[in-house]
Amino acid sequence: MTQGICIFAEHWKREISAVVYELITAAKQLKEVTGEPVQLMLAAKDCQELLKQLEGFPVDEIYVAKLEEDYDFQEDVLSDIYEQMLRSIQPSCVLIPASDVGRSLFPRVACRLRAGMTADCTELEAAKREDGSFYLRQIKPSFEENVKVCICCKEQVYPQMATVREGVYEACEAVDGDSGTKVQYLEVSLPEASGIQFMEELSCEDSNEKLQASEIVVVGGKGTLKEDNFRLMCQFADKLGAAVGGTRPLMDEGKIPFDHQIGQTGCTIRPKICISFGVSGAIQHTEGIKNTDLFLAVNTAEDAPIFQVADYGAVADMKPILQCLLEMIENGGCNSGN
Amino acid sequence: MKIIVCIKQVPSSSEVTVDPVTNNLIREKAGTMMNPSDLNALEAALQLKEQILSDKSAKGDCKITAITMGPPDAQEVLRTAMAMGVDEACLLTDRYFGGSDTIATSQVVAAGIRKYGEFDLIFAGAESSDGATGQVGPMVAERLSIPHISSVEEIKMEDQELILIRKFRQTRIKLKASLPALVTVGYGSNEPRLTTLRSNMAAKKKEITVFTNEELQLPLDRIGAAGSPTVVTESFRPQIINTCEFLSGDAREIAGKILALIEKERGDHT
Ligand SMILES: Cc1cc2nc3c(=O)[nH]c(=O)nc-3n(C[C@H](O)[C@H](O)[C@H](O)COP(=O)(O)OP(=O)(O)OC[C@H]3O[C@@H](n4cnc5c(N)ncnc54)[C@H](O)[C@@H]3O)c2cc1C
Ligand SMILES: Cc1cc2nc3c(=O)[nH]c(=O)nc-3n(C[C@H](O)[C@H](O)[C@H](O)COP(=O)(O)OP(=O)(O)OC[C@H]3O[C@@H](n4cnc5c(N)ncnc54)[C@H](O)[C@@H]3O)c2cc1C
Repeated sequence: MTQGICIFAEHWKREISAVVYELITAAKQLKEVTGEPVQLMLAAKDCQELLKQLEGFPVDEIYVAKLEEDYDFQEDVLSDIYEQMLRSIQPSCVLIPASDVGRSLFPRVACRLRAGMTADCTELEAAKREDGSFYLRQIKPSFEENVKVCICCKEQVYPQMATVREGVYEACEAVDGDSGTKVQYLEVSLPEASGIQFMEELSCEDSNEKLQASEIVVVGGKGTLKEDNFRLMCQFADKLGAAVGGTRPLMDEGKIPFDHQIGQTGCTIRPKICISFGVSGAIQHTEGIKNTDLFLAVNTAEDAPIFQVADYGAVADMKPILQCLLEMIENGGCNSGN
Repeated sequence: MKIIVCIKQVPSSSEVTVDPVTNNLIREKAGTMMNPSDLNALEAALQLKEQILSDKSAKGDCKITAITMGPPDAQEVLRTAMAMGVDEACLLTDRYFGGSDTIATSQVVAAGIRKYGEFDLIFAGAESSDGATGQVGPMVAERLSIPHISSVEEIKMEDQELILIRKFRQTRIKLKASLPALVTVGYGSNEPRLTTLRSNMAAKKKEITVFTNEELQLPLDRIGAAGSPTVVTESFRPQIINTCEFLSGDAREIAGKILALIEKERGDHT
């Protein structure tokens, strides 16, 4: 019998990744339906330090493999270790951060276990089969956010593995007092040496430093490619003292350099204010915008998904708006508009 | 040195609607094209070949083969690869391969690579533009029992070993890998070369090796929809929950409101 919702406790530089706390929330919600324990699996050199960080969270069981080293980037070795752990834990579900590590390491583990694996889920639901057993409905956006699909593993295929997007679940908070977590150490046998050797971490020679550091960012989408919208938007950004970033179509058209593309395959920005023009709001793009205090979006389509992330929206053609904005700033600020 | 590049044919349009009755995806005007990051994988392979051939001290021999699993017309992307400069091409096609998820796809692709012959280095795209899981590359590596490195931006050979730079979080990591290995190449990490009328014509005449399951002999419960542990049970249009407040008025009024919001937010911080 497989039992438990097991989370991969990703860590880097002796710190549990923030997304792990989000996955605890996801697992807790599943537990409410299925009653299965929430589990973490942790394989690391500095287990004690990492376990300390996990104290006080509503986790039922933590499975730990103490390693001689962390084997960072040696996914051939790590996949062997996590396979061994999962074979002894035998969970029904494995939740994995859809991070650089999770998306790259766990396909190997899924292969070893002959398990089904769904990528980039944004919603997980536990549903009941006729025989009373539970299965995981793994929901994710597809085709650039036009539709969502639900993927399930066939009956008898365990564990059900899913990578989950960062930022879709609220991070779980630690509580004071005993959370009743049981810690169990697992013996793993060490696989052969890795074919990969770490050499060094290079500093990122960022040519997009201004974009990353700017408190105000104006983001252009494909809608700015019409007429002279892009030029107007850049003028507006300039007047505001804002940096300019964009979506993939803008990068493809050469309007912005590659490292000014915001999103999954580009960079992540954390401005206080973000104003987007003609951006539809595909998740591959919007997940690159974090921690904004004010998010404004202008788009002609009322049903554009960008309005699900923005605080304020305007369903309108950007051109006259940009023209008015420029004119008003030149005439001394917002009051001229009222 | 024998290099394999895995490529995938993808729909060129993202115009997808949902059939209100069956809940199936309807792909409108679905032309096809090569998956964008596979162009980067091909370019990286071609550049590596150039580096190897230019190294006079080494016994510099290098052959690149493009391989794809797909319907018979997926040979189009193989032709494109050959027009870019790839030496040989291999198509894995069989109706039994249809409907494969990533587990089943990697099974077929890995078997195809094995059947094709020896290899030292395999390239794949970091992710496709349709399924976009990024799982196939690492799974193929696992099935061939070789290490893999994801999201590689730079790659070169030094003393029979690979020196790689991989994107990781907000940094770049330099790694060394022994051969054989598999690397996945990120979208936009290089400038894929263009094909010319002449190279396209030449590619049309080249031969493509075709393997069906007749050759690969994979058990039918390991491939295609039957051999896939996952199933897509439904597709639907997401419910739209707009949490945002809409600004009303004409362009001038909206612009005024936008500026007021910005000023207010700025004021709160300074
Ligand atoms: C694996 C993968 C990774 C990806 N990574 C990224 C990434 O890192 N970053 C990224 O940006 N994308 C990425 N993409 C692409 C992403 O899915 C979207 O296709 C892209 O973000 C869409 O850009 P867009 O919003 O500018 O264009 P569109 O989706 O075409 O939207 C244009 C919008 O402009 C509006 N519009 C048109 N005219 C006007 C006007 N006059 N005034 C106002 N509004 C107007 C339209 O209503 C529409 O909503 C990725 C895709 C995949 C598959
Ligand atoms: C909307 C949607 C969502 C899906 N979600 C999942 C899911 O969560 N889990 C799952 O198991 N399956 C999923 N699938 C099925 C999956 O797309 C197929 O298994 C597909 O054959 C390969 O996966 P991918 O498109 O994700 O490729 P990726 O893994 O993103 O592709 C990475 C690289 O692998 C190589 N590659 C991929 N396919 C081939 C091929 N046919 N021939 C040669 N090389 C190839 C290419 O180099 C490519 O750049 C999904 C399909 C769709 C349409």
